Amino acid sequence: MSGKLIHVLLQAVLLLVFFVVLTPLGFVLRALGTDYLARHSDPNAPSYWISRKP
Amino acid sequence: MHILGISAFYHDSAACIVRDGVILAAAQEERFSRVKHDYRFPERAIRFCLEQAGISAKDLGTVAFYEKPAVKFDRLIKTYLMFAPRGLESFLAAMPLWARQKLWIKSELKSKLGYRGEIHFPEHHESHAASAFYPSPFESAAFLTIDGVGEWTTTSFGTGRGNDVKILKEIRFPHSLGLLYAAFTYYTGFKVNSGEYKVMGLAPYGDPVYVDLIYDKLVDVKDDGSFRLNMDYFNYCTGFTMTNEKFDALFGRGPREPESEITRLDMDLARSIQVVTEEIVLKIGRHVHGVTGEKNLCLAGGVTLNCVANGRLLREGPFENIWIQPAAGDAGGALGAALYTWHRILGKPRKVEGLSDSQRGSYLGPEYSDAEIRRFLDSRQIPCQKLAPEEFPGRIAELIAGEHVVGWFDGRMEFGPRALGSRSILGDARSPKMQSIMNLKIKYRESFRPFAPSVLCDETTNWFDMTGCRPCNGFASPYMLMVGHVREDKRIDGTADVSTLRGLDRLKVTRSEVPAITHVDYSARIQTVHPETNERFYRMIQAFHHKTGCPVIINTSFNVRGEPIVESPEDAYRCFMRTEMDYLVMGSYLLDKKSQPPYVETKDWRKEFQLD
Repeated sequence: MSGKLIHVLLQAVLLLVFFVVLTPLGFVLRALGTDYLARHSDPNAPSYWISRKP
Repeated sequence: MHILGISAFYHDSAACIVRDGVILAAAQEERFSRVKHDYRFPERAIRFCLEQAGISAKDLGTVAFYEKPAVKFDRLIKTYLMFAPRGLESFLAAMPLWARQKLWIKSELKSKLGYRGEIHFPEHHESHAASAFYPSPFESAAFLTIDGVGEWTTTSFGTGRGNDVKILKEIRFPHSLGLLYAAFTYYTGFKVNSGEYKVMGLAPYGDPVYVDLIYDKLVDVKDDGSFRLNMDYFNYCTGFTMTNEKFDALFGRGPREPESEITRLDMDLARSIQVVTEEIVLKIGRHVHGVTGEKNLCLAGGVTLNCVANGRLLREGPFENIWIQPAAGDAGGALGAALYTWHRILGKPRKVEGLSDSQRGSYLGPEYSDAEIRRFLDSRQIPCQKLAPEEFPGRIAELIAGEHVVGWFDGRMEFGPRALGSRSILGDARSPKMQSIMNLKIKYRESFRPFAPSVLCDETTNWFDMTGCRPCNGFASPYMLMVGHVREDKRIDGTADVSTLRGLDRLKVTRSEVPAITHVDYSARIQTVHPETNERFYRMIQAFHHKTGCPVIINTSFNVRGEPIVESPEDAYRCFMRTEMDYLVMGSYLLDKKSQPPYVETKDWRKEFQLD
């Protein structure tokens, strides 16, 4: 298989994964309130430091 | 047992070999490949390390990689999940690299090294913490690591005791001081991951007028220094730029076009983000001190290359002593990973040698003997003069005192971004025109950028105010990572209020007896020179001192702008001939520009190096 063909196929697969898996899953997760990135600011929290489990 | 440490695939690949806990060799790939910030697999750097250690890959006891690719991948995917369908372009660009290379470190090592043994993967910030604590002169210390991002962690602190390092608390992506600073680097028209120190150098030309705005809109900082960024203004989670239109609207324009004129706004932004960074670092420092109770602090991670913040932390913060890993960025991860494996995974003990660190002056790269240099010179029939050891210091000192620009190539190459008297370009700090001569005729770079001084360690306090720093012991500033101030009695127009002048007008004031290394706010990024770690450099500056009464010289890195620091005699000669440098010293050989035959270029090198 030529390199170019592999590249195109890979892009097609990635596109598929992005729209068929990531996007719907993302919608569901966000609807359930998941935020992996903790994007909100929390005026009441005394600290944003996260403790490491020993 | 030999341990090979490797960092690669993000920026600044590097390799390091540690034998029974002793650092034998370390170098960044860019120096060999001549591609600045080269992030590809560090084949050449590894080859050098193996040669220096006198072994081949099969003799390696074990190998350590500086982070956990699978955890990083986890962060990437979870980030896309939070934004999808936004981020498609970024996803399509990033995934092939992961699929082909970044997830398969073990097979990369097998194919490129012929190594089939075990590989350890400490976390990114564990590697930073190890690089900060293990080589330090402290038996016990707190550490603080701050960078753009590792896997999830962007900021971490903890304690190091004996041979153990332990992270206590952290801050996670996307909340990152490194990425915040990078955002402003991008917005003021400099290159992300390489232009940050230019922002730091630009800051004294501006006023801190946006500090309140930054705290109000962009970053929420708690009393203990922990923070969260307001991601509404930043694009880096899923975009190709750091900031977005909402950020633009705050300041009334888009990002500055690179190489275009630097405006007042850029200077004020630089100053403002610098102040915010310093204040956050100070708050974090106080919190770390409160939690750990340690009087010593170790630093690593790209943000700790911000030596102005480091200087403030030392002067105003609660720690008695601060030690910073010279290769504070990702290159140092190679060193950290190797040491982490030796001390923490294999549990080997650690011995602290009195007051000195075990970084060996950071002279960990390749060196070239006089014989090898001679071979190179002869092969190209380059006119040169061999200096006898007795005349060497005086002769070079004389050239520098004569306002000549002298390339200095000697000993083992430095590990880390600063030149420390091994691959340096030297000049007379007393000369008022040296700053512009060296900026325009040697480095071909922006003229606002200051130069840094190297000073005899025993003379440091006569010329500089470095509160908290104790020269001539392990707590000095041998790695140019601390900023102090020129002593008041050495300043000229010391009472002139710099803040009444605007922007680049601040450059017009002759600021001190050593103007070339005095920044517009009288600050200087100092290297203390010690005879134990670099005797030749020390003796030469000593000769200069005897001759002129001044123990300070300009020390800038040996390269043109956009090029990595030179590694070999060939690189050095090429840079010498491409610039208006007057003399080149390599080992015991002195080259006079006036005697050199014309240099034939194979291509326009000014186009070859990407402007950084």
